Amino acid sequence: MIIQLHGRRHLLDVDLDIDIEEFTSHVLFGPSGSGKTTLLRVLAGLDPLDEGELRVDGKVWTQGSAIKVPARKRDIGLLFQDHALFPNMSVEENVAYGIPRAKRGDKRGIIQWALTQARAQGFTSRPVASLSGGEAQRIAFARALARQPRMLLLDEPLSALDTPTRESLRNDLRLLIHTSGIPTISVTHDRTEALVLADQVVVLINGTVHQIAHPSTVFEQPADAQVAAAVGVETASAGSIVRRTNGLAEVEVEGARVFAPEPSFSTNGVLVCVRAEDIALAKEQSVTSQRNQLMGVVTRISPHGSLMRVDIDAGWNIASFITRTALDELELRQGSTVVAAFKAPSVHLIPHD
Amino acid sequence: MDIDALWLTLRLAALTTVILIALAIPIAAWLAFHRRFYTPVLEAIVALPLVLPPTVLGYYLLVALGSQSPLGQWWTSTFGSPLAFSFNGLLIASVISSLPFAVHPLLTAFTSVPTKLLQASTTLGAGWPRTIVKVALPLSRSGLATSAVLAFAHTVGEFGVILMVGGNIPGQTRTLSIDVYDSVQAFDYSSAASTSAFLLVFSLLVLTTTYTLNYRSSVPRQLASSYPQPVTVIQ
Repeated sequence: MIIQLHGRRHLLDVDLDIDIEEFTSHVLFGPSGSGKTTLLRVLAGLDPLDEGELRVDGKVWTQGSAIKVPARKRDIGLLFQDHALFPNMSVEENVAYGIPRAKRGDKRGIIQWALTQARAQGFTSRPVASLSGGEAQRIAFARALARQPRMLLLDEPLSALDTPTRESLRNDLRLLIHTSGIPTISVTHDRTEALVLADQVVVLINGTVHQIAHPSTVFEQPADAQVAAAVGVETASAGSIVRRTNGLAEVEVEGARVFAPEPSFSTNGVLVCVRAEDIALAKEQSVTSQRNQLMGVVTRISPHGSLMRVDIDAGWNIASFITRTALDELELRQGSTVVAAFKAPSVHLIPHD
Repeated sequence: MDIDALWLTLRLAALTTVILIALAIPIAAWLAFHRRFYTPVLEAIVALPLVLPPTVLGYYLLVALGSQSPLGQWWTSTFGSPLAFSFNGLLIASVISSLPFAVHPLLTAFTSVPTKLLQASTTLGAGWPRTIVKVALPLSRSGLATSAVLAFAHTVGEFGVILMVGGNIPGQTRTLSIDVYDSVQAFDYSSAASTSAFLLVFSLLVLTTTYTLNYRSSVPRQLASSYPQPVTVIQ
């Protein structure tokens, strides 16, 4: 299924050509307000475009403000943020709602199949209003599956759930998508969710597509400064390449010099990115494979989830994530002297003016 | 109390209600879910009987149904009797004059159905008729009940339009409200008193029922806060 979307809608202004069958699970990733949900609604046929067109397999689905193929004929399964189950129907009636007329003969069988697929057999007899968020989302998934649609669209499918439910459903959802085999486009602003769910990530920032790549590529090698900011690279500073030798680039960044793999581009102005989890801390310099060892002073120590974030001024302001145990062993305080060590391949360079 | 008038009134109100509900569902659905720049004009036209003096509405209906009008002529040539000053003419007049009472509560109920549910229905392949019957109407049950009750009650209480279009033909067009007027004209105050008392008690019962229905919403209680069912009474 080839999706070609070239158009505008509010702040969304995209040129997107993807074959969603190439990877089962595409994730539209970007910060809030980047136009992800708008894009999904345009695909679903719930919103028109201000300008431009949407083609699917060459057929025009939306042309400017005219929706040529209405939502009900697009053969898609849309999962809303907060399930949108019909409160006036039973669980089974909800699941049966979208079964096409031609397949109603085997309604029972399809309902059972969809509920099994969504691992939602346990609570079918309960009223819809009494289901928990996670249970309701499973039923909503079964309802979307029962149509056996050509594509699934998931709009922030986990964001309305509480943290424990979200974490347990996240891995399940990946499994559900892959066992269904239906090409899926999910929308999320959560990096963990993007990492877990995606086979391919489409990064959308301020309404435009910035990068389409494998999740690890997006997170380790963001295409530009905005993607780096969106995926949460903790350290990203402007610098310049001063020398290129033997596949290595020596980069001057603020008051420090670091080594990075030599980039393919020729400009010397760069944005130097290092992820905090790639920076190790030590009391003194040592002979290791870590090519970059910067001596610095701890400026701030703050909790970051189960880890501690240590900000260091090494002539260049960098951040490192270490465990609480490591923090105790190093006896770090604000003002302590410390060595920040990281490998050259951990340094990612982005062309930058 | 005039039993003929009571029977006639109930028959008229029941038929009017059935016709009105059949009309109000598609009209309210159209006004609620198919909003365009001209929708306010349509809403104004539907609400017109609320503000027009009954005599004005009655006058136009009389002209439209009379033997000089194309509709009146067609009716007479097809059914062999005139439309004005007949039960059928009265029925048409009642339907039009009570239209806002049937449409408005349903419209308010429809607009409070979460858009998301309607969109979910659409993406699941349902067209508007199925979405309205399966999703919007069941979630608007108390609105529908209010519509029916108000349409019935307003028809029972209608006076001006009926006088203009139906006149005062016993067994044909003399309803209870006309009967009260007629009794007072004839200085028969005891008959006027009993009929009036009946209408008063009846109206009070109807309104109490409506408010009770609205209170005990048809939507499960847990959802009552997320899907508010409006209490809509126009008069």
